[in-house]
Amino acid sequence: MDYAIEMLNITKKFGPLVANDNIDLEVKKGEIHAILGENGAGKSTLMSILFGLYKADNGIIKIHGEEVSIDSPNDANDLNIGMVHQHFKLVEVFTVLENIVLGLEVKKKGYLDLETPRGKIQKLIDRYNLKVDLKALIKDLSVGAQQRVEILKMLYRDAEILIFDEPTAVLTPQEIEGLFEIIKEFAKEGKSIIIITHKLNEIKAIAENCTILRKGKHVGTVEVENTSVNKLAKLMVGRDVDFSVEKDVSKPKENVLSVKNLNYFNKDKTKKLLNNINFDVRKGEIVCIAGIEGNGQTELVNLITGLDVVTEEGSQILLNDKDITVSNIRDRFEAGMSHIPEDRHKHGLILDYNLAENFISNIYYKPKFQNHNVLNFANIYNYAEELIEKYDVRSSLGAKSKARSMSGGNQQKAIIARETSRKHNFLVAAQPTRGLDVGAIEYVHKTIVAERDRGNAILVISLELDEVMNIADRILVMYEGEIMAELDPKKTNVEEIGLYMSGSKRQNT
Amino acid sequence: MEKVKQFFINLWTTIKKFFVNFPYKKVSKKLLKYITNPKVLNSFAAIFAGLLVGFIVMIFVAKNPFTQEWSFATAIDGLERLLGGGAKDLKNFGNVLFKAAPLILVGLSVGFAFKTGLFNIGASGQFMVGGAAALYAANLLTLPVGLHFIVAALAGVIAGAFWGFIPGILKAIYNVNEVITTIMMNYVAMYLTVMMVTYPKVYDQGLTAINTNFPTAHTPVLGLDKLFPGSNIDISIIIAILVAVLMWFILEKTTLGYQLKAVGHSKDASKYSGINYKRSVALSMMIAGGLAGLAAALHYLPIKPAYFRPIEIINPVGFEGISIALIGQSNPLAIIFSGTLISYIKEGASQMQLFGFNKEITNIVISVIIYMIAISAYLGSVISKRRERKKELEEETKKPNRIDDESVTKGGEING
Repeated sequence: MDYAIEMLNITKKFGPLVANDNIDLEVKKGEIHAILGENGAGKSTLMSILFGLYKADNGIIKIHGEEVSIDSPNDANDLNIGMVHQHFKLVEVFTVLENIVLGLEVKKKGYLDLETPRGKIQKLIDRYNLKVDLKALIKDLSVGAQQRVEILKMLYRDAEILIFDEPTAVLTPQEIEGLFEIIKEFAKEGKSIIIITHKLNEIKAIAENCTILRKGKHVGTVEVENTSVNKLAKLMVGRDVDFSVEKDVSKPKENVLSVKNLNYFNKDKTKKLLNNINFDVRKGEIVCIAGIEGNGQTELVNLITGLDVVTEEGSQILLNDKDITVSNIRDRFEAGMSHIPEDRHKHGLILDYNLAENFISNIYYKPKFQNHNVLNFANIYNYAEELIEKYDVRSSLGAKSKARSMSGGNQQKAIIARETSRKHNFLVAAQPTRGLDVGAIEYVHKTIVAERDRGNAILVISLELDEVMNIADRILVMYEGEIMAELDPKKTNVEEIGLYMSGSKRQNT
Repeated sequence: MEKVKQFFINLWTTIKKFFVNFPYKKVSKKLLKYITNPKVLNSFAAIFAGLLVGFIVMIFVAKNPFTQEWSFATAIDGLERLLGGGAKDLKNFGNVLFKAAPLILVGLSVGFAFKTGLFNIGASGQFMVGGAAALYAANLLTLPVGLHFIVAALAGVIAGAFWGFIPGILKAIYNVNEVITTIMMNYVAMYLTVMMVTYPKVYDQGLTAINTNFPTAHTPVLGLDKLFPGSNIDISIIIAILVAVLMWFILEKTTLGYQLKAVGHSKDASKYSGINYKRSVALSMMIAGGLAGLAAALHYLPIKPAYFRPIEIINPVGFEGISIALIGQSNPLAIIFSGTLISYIKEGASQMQLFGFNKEITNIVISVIIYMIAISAYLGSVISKRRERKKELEEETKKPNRIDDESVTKGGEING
């Protein structure tokens, strides 16, 4: 069989850690090959070796049957290997065209020639329907468009082997679909494609074969068509994974949060971001807000939690019968709110504070932690130990670990620990599982359901429909700043929600 | 009288008790741990490098004062004075401490702002208005000894705090970069104080400076000149040390310090936590300004004070404050030492002039120290990051279950 890529017995160590332990990867020409594994399984290391960013300690790489040595990304380029990194490598203040030719500039009499490449790139754009404005600056583009620029960069360099590192992490469902179309087109033309991911349904949707890594080891390579999602998950995690969240029927009681006639405009008042939003969240229920990113969910959360302040007349937010429409954040917390923020690095944690200091970031003024404004470190560290124990937050130095040094999953656990341990009866969780892997997601879901069963009211904002279907007791679908529908997850399906999400259907109320 | 005596006896016994029961072993252990801390070692290495470069420059310029010929021996003499001049005798060391007090406080002003995420380049301006205010209070008020000094010093603090508050509030409400506003405030302070100095009621034509004859408002000496005979020392060094300890306490032990540092680390995360960001920023700058104002009061109020002249130059003390804060890595306790160190080197440099050296060599020494600290801070962070990562990796490999863990991916390169 003709293989485009063969990586045999690859081993790579970083100090005591074996990031890749004797891994084999074989990709045929024209094949879409997925590499599946949790964070830290060694996927990116393997691809970095293929792309010349790292040198393997052991093992050989063959491209089209010939043994090669790839010492730098330039060597990879010469072998027609291209890679789209998870975090794009683009110059923000350059135009799309300048970014694509960067590093491979055409010169005419010593001057930079952008016209010759422009023609070639335009042809590529037309051929693959990679719509992007060559004159636009990168910083003005959406993430999806930036990704198309990265793809064009590879194509401009005549890449035959395309590596995508977590390409869907930042895309909306529509963009994902578009991307997959393009990738399939590439495969049809005989290009070999490697996709790194930990999203199982995407693998099902696009890949032919899948190589699974776990903790640096090669677990196996399977044909996707003959392997169930559950099997894939089990191979990846090493144990059975429960996708459906177990929970009893909710028994909602009295209102905790009421949002009434909420309107909100952007800064220069040219666009209505929230249009007459009305809903309640009751004790003992999980209300999920579904929708495509950028349809007003972030604004809604910010207004409820106080990160932004309501400016429109007539808009009202009530928490436990207290009007918190224009309250400051501490008053909202005092009124019973807890908040797991969307951006855990920006809002959730003070990254240069240690774990114990982060655990008290919004309760440090309580008598337990201070006496006449002098912090009581004994209590602070006891409290931290308590939470670390209870929530199994792992870090190198325990309570004294800097939040920055912790892994994403444990950072999120720390935030959840802080927010659910505080006195509250209402929890806002904005994309609580974003960027987490399967095990951590399971944990977050269980915690949220346990919160509900304790009689708290919960509002979850999620972009993942599977998540919405799994944990919601009631679903609200948002589109362009409006609530399009209120649905019961038991009486609806993903397709129906999709229609509301895209604005093609509206519930009559 | 009896009561006062009793009070002093009690005080003495408490102090004695403190020293007898002092946990020397524990503290020396801690001290050792602190000194071997890479951050502290960095500072010492940088100081050493600075002195070394200073010495190399001295070798090049050294001339025998009599024959005017190049002489290595003169370089050695100069170095001896640079290193040892400040401790030649008790008088010199007393003067080192005397001049260190304002430097420590200016260092604290910059360092406190640094710790709370602000860059106070305006310590000079705050120093100038603080000094003018203190001298006005000293000259224009009639109050008993002791109280007059306190009032004059407070006037300096308040004026400096006000000068810091303006950039603070502009940053808090309109998000104007404090670097720009504090620089501009330096110029405003410069012209304003020129006008203030020449005000006839305080101006001394003979001195061409603000009158310094205000017997009731001078900084008390409290017998310290007995310890350091012949020097100008007064209680300003004690005030500086106490204020430094107070600043350390505020930053490390109080809710206020917790808030201010949180805001310094992350504006957004503090806002999310319900901390009043605007108040914190304004307050930080006010405290920083107040410290610079106090520095000025201690600079201008002693019995042998510096003269406040109507010259249109921004007082460079604020920039020295930046150096001192950097060398002390913004730790208030370390700033006590870095401020004293700078004062010590300056004293040595002034004695070096006896051998024909330019005292500006101190500036070379100080700037090399700062460069070295900047570099070592960078190198140190790289090294400690490596160490941390290594440690993490070790931890990771030990763990039986790594399912929800991505720490391996931290640091970027070793992505799974």
